[in-house]
Amino acid sequence: MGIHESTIQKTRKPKFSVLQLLTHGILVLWAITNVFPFAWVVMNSFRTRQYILTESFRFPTNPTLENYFNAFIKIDIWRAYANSFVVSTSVAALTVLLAGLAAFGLTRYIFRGHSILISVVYGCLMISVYSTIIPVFSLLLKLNLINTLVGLILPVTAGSLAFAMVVLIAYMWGIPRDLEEAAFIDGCNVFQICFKIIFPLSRSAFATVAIFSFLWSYNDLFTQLFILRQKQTWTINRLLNEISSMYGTDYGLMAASITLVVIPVLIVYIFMQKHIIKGLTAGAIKG
Amino acid sequence: MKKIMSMLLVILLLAGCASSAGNKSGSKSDAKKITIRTASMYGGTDPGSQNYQNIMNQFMADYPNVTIEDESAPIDEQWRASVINDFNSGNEPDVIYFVHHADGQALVDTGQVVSVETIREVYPDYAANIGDSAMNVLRKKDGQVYCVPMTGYWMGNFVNTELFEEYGLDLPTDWDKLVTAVETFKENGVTPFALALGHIPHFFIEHMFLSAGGVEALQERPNSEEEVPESWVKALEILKELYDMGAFPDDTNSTTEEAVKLLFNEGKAAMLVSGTWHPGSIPVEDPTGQLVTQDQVMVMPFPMHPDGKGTPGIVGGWNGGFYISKAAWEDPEKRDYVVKLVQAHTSSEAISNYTGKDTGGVSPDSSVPVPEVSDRPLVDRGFKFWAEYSANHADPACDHMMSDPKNILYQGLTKIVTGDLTPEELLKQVAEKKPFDY
Amino acid sequence: MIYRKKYLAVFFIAPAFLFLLVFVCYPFLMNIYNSFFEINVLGAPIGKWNHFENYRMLFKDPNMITSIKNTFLLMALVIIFQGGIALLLALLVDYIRRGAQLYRVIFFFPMVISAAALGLIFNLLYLYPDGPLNVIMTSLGFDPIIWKGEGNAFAAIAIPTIWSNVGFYFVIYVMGINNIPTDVMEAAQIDGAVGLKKTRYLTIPLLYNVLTTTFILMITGALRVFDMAWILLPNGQPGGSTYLTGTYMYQMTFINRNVDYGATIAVFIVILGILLSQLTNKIFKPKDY
Repeated sequence: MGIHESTIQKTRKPKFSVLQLLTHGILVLWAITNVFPFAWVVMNSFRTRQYILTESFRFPTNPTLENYFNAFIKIDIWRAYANSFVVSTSVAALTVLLAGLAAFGLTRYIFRGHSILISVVYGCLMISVYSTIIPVFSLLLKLNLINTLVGLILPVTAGSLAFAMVVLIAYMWGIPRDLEEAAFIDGCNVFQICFKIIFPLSRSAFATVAIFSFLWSYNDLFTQLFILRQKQTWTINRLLNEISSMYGTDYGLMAASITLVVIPVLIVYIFMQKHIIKGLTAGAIKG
Repeated sequence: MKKIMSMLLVILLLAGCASSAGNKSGSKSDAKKITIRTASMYGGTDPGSQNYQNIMNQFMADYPNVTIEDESAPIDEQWRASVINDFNSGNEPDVIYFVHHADGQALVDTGQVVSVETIREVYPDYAANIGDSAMNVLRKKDGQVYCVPMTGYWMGNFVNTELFEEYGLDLPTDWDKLVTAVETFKENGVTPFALALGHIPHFFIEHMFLSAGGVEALQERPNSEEEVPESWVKALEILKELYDMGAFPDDTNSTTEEAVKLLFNEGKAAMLVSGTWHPGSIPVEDPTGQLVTQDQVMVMPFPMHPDGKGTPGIVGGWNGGFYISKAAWEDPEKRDYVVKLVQAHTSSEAISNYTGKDTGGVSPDSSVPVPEVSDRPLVDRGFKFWAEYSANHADPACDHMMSDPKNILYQGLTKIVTGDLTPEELLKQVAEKKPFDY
Repeated sequence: MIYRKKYLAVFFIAPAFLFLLVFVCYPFLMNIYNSFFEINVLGAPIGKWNHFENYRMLFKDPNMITSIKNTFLLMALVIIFQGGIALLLALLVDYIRRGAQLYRVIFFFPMVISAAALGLIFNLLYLYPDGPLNVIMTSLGFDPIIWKGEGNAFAAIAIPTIWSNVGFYFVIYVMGINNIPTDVMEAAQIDGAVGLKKTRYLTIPLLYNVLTTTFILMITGALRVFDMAWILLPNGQPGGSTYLTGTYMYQMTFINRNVDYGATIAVFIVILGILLSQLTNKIFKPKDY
C-alpha cells in the first residue's frame, strides 16, 4: 500500500517544475502566433498608409479614424454587414428547421427505403461544393435568382443540411422513447410530440447546428463569388475580396476593413465559444 | 417552436426585401415611369466615370419620368464574363457600355443586342457623328456594327524624365538607349520598368509584339501551331531578355498592378508601359514632394528591337461602345429613351468630355477637335503622341483572343522569364486552342 | 405504435430532401454530364458533345498536374505539421491542466475567422519589401524576402493554411484525450507508465480512431482549399505554379471560361476524395480497444 502511494505521489506533478515552465512556454509561443496577426491588423487600422510601412510594430503615434471613415463611405460596409447577417441567419434558421424535421422523421419512422435515405444523406456529405456549383448556377440563372440573397441562401442551406442531419439524427436517436410514449398515451399527436417534446430536448444539438451553419455561411467565399455580382448584394467576405483588388495599396483601409469583419465574429466567439467548440468537434468525432 | 417559426418568417421577409433591392425591377407601369438599367466599365472615380455619371444625371433631369439604374463596375475578366452571363439569362441591362473584341462577339452571339444598322432604319441619324473608320473596326462576323464608340485610347511608354536627367541618360528613343537606361537604373537601385508581370502583363506584352514585329505583329491571328508567327516568338524572347537585364521589379511575378503603379508615381521606377488612363493618377503639382508630377513625365513609343522587323507604331484603339439590348429596343415604351440615352453619351459634346483633357481619351468623332491642354502637361503630351503616331496604330492582339487561350498566354509569361517554358511551347499551347476562331 | 401512420413521415422528411435533391444531388449528376460537353459561358446551355476530350486534357494539362502535385504536397504537410502541432499542443495542454480552458479558447480562435480575412491579413504581412515580416527580417540582418515569389510561393500558401486550422484539430485531440477513461490511465500510472512512455504506449494508441478520422478530414480538406489560397495567390501565381485543385477549378470555370473543363476538374476532385478516404479507411482500420 505504502509503495503504491509513493508511486502515485511521484507522478503528481509538483507545482513549478522546469518541464511545466517549458510546456507553458511552448503553449504561450503558439498562443502569440495566434493572436499577433490580429493585434497587428487592429493596431494598424488606426494608422494611415505611410505610417504602417514605417512603424508597423509600435503603438500608433498619430492614431486616426480616417480608415474607418473610408471603410464606411467608400465601401458600403453597413450594407455588406446587413447582407451577411440576413444570409447567415436565414441559412441557420432554415437548416435547423428542415434538418430537425427530417431527423425527427428518420429516427422515429421506420419504412422501406429508410436506409437508402440515410445513405443519401451521408453521400451528400461527401459531395463538395465544387462539383455542384456550375449546375446550381445554371439553375439559379433560370430562376432569375442570380445576384439575389435568396439565390445564395438556397444552395448554402442545402450545403449545410447534410451535416446538420447527421448531427441531429445521431442526437435524436439517443433520446429515450419514454417521454413520447407517455405523451402519446395522453393523447398527443405526432406533430405535438415533435415540436413540444423532441425539439426542446434537442436544444443543444440545434444550437450547435445553428452556430455551425451560421459561421459556415458567413465565411464561405466560393459560392458568394459565383452568385453575388452586384455591389448591393455583396456580403462582408465578398466585399473583402474586392477591397484587395480595388484598394490594394491603401493598407490602412484594408486593415480597418479586416478589423470590421473580424470583430463581430470575435465578439460572438467569446460569448459562444463553449458551444462552438463542443458542437463542431462532436460531429467530427462521431463521424 | 412558435418563436422559431416567426423568426424564420421575419428573416425570409428581410431576405426577400434585401434581394429585391438588388434585383432587376423592370419598368413600372404607373404614370409612364420608365426604368432603364445600364452598366458600363466606368465604375470608378476617374474623370471618365464622373463624366458618365454626369451625363446620366443630366438625362434624368431632362426626362423626369426616367430612372436610370446603373450597375457599373471596374473592368476585369470576371465582370466581362458575368455580363455575357446576364445577356444569356435574360438578366441583361438595357444599355451597356462594353468591350468590342472577342467578348463583344460573344455578346452579339447571345442574340440579345440590336445592331446599329437596325436602329438606323428607324433613327437614321443614330451615331452619325462617329467616323466610318472607327465604325468599321467594330464590325462583327455578320458585317454589322453593334456598338457606338465614344472614346479611344493609346498605349505607350511613360518615362520619368527627371530620373533620366538625374543619371545623365538619353530618353529611350531606340533600343540601345533603352538598354543603357535599364542598366544604369539597375545599378543605382531604381526599378527600370514598373511591371507586375504576374498580375497585369496585358499592356507590356503588346509592346513586346510591337518591338519584335511592328504593327504587323499586332495584327497576326494564329489559329494553330503552324500559324504562330516568328514575331511572337521573338517578342517573348525580348521579354526574357529584359527580365534577365533586371529591367523589372524583383517581385514582378507576384506583385500587383497597383503596387507597381505606385512605384512609378512615387518616382521609384523610371518607366511604365500604360495608356490614356494613367495620366489621371499623376498630379499636376505636388507640394509634398513625394509624388511625380505631370511635367516630369513623357510618353513615347516603345523602341523596336534591333532584330525586330516591321512597321514601328503604337498600340491603340477603341475602348468599346454602347450596346442596346434587343429587349429594350423591342419595348415600345423604352425604345425612344434608350436611343436618346446612347445619343446623349455619344454626341459630339459628350465625346469632347469623354475624350478631352480630363481623360486623355481620343475621339472617334472627327468634328471634335484635339484639345490643347495647357494646364496638364502629360495629358497634352498624350494627345500630341497620338497625333504624331496614330497613322500606324493597331489594336492589342490579345484583345481579339478568346478567354481561355488569352489567359494561358498571360499566365505563361512568368514561366517564360524564369526559363521554365520556351516561347515556342507557350505559343503552341495558346494557338492549339484556336484563339481567334469564333 | 405512435408512429404507425407512415405517410406522415413524408411531411417531416420531404422538405429537407427536396433541398438536397435539387441543390446537391441533381447538380452533382448534371456536373458529371456537363463534363462531356462544350460549354463556353457559365450558365449557358450545353454545347457540342465533347467525347472524353476534357478527361484526356485533364491528364495532359501541365497546370492540372501541378495542382494535383501541390494538393498532395499540401496534404502531406498538413498531416505532418498541422496534425503534428495540434497533437503536440493537445498533449502539452493535457500535461499541465492549468489554464487549459484559456489555451483552448485562444487556439481555436483562428478557425472562426473567415479564410478570406485571414488571406488578406497575410497579404499585408507578406508585403515586399517593407511589410512587417520583412521588417523583422531586415532588423535581424537578412535581406527582405519576396514571400510570394517563385520558390517561396507554395510555402506562402501552405503555412497560413496549416497555421489557421491547427486549432480545430487541437480541440478534437483534446477531447479525444479527455475521453480516454480515467481508470485506464490510473491503472497504467500505477503500473509505472509515466511521462513520455505514457504518451507513446498509451495515449496515442487510444487516440487511434480519432487520429484516423482527422486524417481523412485533413486529406479531403486539402482538396477543397480555396478561399485563402485564392486571395493570397490568385491565378496560381507565379506562373501557375501554386495551383491547388480547388483554385484551378475556379480559374478554369470562371476566368478562362472553359466551363466544361471546370466541371471535369470538379468531378475529378470528388473521385479523388472518395478514393483517398476509402484508402485511408482501409489502411487505418478502426480498432476497438
